[in-house]
Amino acid sequence: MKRITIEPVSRIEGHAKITIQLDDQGHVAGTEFHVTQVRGFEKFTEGRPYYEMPGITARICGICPISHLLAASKACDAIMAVRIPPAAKKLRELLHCTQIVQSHALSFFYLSAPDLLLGMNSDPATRNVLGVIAQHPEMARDGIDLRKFGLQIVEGLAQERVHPSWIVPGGVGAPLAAQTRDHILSELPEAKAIAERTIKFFKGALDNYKEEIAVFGAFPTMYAGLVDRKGALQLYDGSLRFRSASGEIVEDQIAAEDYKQWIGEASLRESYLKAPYFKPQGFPGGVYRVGPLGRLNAADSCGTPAADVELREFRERFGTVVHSAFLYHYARLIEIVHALEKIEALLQDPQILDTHVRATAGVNALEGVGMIEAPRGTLIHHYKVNEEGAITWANLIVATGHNNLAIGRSVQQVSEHYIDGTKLTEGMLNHVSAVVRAYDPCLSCSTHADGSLALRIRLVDADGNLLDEIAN
Amino acid sequence: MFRCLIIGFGNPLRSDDGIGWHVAREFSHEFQHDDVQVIAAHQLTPEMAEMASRAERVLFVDATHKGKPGSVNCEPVAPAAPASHFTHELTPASVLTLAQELYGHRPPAYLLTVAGECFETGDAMSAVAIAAIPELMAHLRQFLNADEKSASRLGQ
Repeated sequence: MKRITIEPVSRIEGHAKITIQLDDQGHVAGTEFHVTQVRGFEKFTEGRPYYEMPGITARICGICPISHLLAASKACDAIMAVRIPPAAKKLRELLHCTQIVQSHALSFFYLSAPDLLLGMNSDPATRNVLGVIAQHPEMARDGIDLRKFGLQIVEGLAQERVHPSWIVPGGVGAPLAAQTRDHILSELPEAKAIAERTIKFFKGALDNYKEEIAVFGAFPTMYAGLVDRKGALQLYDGSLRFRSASGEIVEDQIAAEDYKQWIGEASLRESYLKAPYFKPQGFPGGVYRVGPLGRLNAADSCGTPAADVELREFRERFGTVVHSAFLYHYARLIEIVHALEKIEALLQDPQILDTHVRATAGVNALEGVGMIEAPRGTLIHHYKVNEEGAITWANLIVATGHNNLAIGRSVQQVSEHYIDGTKLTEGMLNHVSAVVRAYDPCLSCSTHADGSLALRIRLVDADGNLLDEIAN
Repeated sequence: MFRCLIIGFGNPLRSDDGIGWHVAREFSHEFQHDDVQVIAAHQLTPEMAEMASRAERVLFVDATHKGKPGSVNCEPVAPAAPASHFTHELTPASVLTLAQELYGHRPPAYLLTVAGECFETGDAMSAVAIAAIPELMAHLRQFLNADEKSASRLGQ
């Protein structure tokens, strides 16, 4: 028995380790995906005023703080029992779509483009964003410019690029100035052009990835995402839908406050990351996937014209329900197109300049749940408070957590396909890492406690033979 | 094209490491002009290369471990190829190199640093770092008001 360790998994957010056990013939006998960090937000926020939760939970992540700001603020809105002003809802949605654009751009251009453009077996010394800049400067410029577009909107709306304090319980901190709106609209055509040529490039290159499409997490699972009443994709508001691997809607229009009836959480011995599962099917059978591919599989349509054209082409090529995790990259690009269309529609709505942007109230409910679609998947913030508004309990189910079981299975599948234990190459191991990257995990975000910490201690000798083992 | 780009960077939750960020934020409140862009950032990122390419000159502001705590230094930034695999470790020199390679223009640039005393977790700077802020702000005003000839002497 031999063990291969990939540590750290590179070009992802957060820290992870993969262990691959080989049998005596060098074949893969087992794999484990370990998330090696604990954050503790659910515990140390106990006692804090509920209205601090957006600012505190934004610090979970530097890439997607806006997702946590939004989910936390929605949970606080529920505690306050307020309906936020229409302009505030539109402004929150505007910022959210902007974040989708810049986060998806980061994933595609910075984290995965090195594999896609330079090759998964290429020299690791240059297989990074700087290598992309050197060999594909036009693609690098597009990625930088698209990310800059998104970050500048965030700054224009919220005054800060990272951890902005503009999203607050009850609404947003300030209305949108007409000058800022006009500036964003002037930059939008180039952003849309970048999205269009990037997706055109990727569609044209897909034949180069037939093997990856066939083996990167290509197994049937359920899919989950937020949809509106007509079944169209919803990123900011909406109800949760589960769709089966064969395309049937299993459960639909689940309100945020009812998530616990359908989503269970399990602790894993090999990882600090929880493993959510679809409760009616139990653990681990109730595996489902979220995020760009999960959302596009769950929804009937995107609800915006250009994205719906892309979605139709996507489904014509790969099926009504698409299972290959490699195609998260494609789905991510479709969502960039969709988010840019949403940004344009929101900015062209005169109501977005309305100055009524915040509702105020105290504690009117002792429990609140906020649910949105973060770039990486469904994000749920659930708080309980006392009469004074202090947090007594908090549960966060974060996007990447939903994908934990699927990521683990994907690692197994790719390892079994690429790893030859008799002659290991760095490229083989990079393929294993690349399937994790396809999910664009945000591991720092997703690792939280469910109230227990599963622990297993294994004692092995110098040859890796198990001598003893204890577990709780 | 705009006249000056000022980028103050660092982590405000790591005590003195955040002095560049704090100074940039303070300066952006004091001075607002279409011709001048001021960025307060946690780290240097590739997106800044595009902005740098549109500036006539650039000033980076950061904390450093080197030197007597509280001492201020300003020197020109020499071009250098990005050496790190990680965009978390972009340097002022590599931002400028990217500006040249991707956007065709590398402006003259300077790095203004203050030696920090404490880089531990915390949202407050040390007294020594705080005491250096007026000198840093004076440098920023000088950079802004300098013509091209005198700007080239900023690091001397």
